[in-house]
Amino acid sequence: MMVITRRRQQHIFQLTLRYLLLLFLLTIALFPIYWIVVGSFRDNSEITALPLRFTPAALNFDNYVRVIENSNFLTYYANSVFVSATTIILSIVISVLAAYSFSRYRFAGHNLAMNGILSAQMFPLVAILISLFSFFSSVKLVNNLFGLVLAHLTIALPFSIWFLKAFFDGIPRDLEEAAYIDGAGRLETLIQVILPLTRPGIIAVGVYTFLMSWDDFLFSLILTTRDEVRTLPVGIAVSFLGEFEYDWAGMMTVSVISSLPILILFIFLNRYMVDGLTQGAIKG
Amino acid sequence: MTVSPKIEPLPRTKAYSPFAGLTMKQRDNVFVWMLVLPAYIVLMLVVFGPILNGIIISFTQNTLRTRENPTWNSFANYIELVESGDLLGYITMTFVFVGLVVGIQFLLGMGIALLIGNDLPGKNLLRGLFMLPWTIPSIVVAFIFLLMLQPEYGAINYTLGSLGIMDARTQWLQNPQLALPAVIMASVWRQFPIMLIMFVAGLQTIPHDTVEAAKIDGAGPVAIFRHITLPFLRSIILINVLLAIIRNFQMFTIIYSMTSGGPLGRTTTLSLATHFEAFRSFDWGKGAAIGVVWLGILVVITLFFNWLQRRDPMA
Repeated sequence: MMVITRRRQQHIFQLTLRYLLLLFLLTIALFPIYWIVVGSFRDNSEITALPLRFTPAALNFDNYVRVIENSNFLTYYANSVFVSATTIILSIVISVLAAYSFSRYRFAGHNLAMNGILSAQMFPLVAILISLFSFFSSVKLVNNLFGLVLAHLTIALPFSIWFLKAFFDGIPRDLEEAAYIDGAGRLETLIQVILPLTRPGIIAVGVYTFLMSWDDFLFSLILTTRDEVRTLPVGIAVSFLGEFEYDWAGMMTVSVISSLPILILFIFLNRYMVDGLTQGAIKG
Repeated sequence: MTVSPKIEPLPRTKAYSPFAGLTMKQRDNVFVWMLVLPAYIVLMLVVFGPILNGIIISFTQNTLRTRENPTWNSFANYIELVESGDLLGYITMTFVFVGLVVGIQFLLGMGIALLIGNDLPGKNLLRGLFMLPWTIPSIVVAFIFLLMLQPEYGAINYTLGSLGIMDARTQWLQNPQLALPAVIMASVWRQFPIMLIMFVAGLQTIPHDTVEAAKIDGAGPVAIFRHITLPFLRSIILINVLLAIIRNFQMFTIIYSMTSGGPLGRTTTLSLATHFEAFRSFDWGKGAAIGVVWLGILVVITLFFNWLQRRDPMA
């Protein structure tokens, strides 16, 4: 009896300790997010006032009104939405097709292509941009949202193809055999039989592409020079950095609005994202 | 994947097909190439073409004045970079940055994953909350750390100052010794969740029985970690560390927005250096040369990790 209770006590003590430690770490990890939100509800004099007040701010939407009314922010936002959405669609279509054929067929240059695609992830993006910039200049894709889409595919495709291939590998081939026997063509089989099973994989790839595209700063910095075609990250960097006196309230407000789409997506698709990403890494 | 597909009877193959005269094998080939072609075209245009072209550019004199008609200058760009000592500086800076960012996020990710473990009630909620920093765009990460590191009213400075750990009013981003830790802090904050979820998922693959058996044999937590957890996670660790290294060689947004490579070039990594040479000094030849060196380093690192991966851990 004694031993059991002591062990239980020890267990409870350990559990409490783990929770406390995790709570402490979580507080530190989430503080910056909390601080962005608090900042977005304060004006600059409140943000810079000493001593700092770590308590929540009263809801005050003045900054939001100011930022949204301000000229370019909505343009940047719309550009980002357009570029991300287009990139997601293209990335899914292209990578599904390629990954499926990599998974199901062996063809000349199969391994070379697969390794090439994998290694593309380590190519220095800035160095790629040198040639890409001159190529894009010659075909009028600089200052063009479609140019950005094409560039974002560079980052999205290698991962998406590799990830979906692992996903297709996990689907038994018997399904196709059965469909072929029923007289279905190859493309029909892919679209009607296999694709519905790949939904979690496709969602994971879509979300991943969205994260990449929404976050991209470098391509947009080099490939766009005019405000009408800038996407959010470079747009807000140009508007807010480089000022002599930072407009913190404005910065925190655009920060909240820019983070919102991913945050919402993450809350709803959390399971798909976590399972998708980790499965890929563990199998691969 | 437990959903069983409903296979509805599909319409018979149409009477006319452009591939009617082909054998099954040939049709397979046509099909495969149609599927991979879009990917090949895009990747050729935006990845492989530019990287090959970049390697060529690195051997030319290609500055604003010679842009129309770049001339082959063999290794001149490389030699200049080496002789000026710049290249070594960039490489050292990159290694310090990448090493610390990856090392710290590895420790954080592993530590928190072990704390969460396999059995903690509320595990999924905790994992979800810890992942939130990963959803914040890099430019926003730069913004918030700029604010938190502000010398007078930045929350980090203020807290460290009131605790007496640091001088309040520390100029993080203007101080050559502290600018690098500042960008490292910001980068780690955004990235550690990836390591964390990978390790949490990895821990689930360890069979419970093995751990129990070791406990019965009297193994302590440290022994279990060394002899069971680490060997089981080995391949996950290797893949994720390699990916993190590659990712941080690419790191641009956070450093560029927080310090622009300064002060005194103390945060100028290879990726910022390439950008400055190519798009500030407009010397494409030199910029490309830095990129080629960077690619070379990554190839070596990747080969090393592949070798580690193949080596039998138990042998």
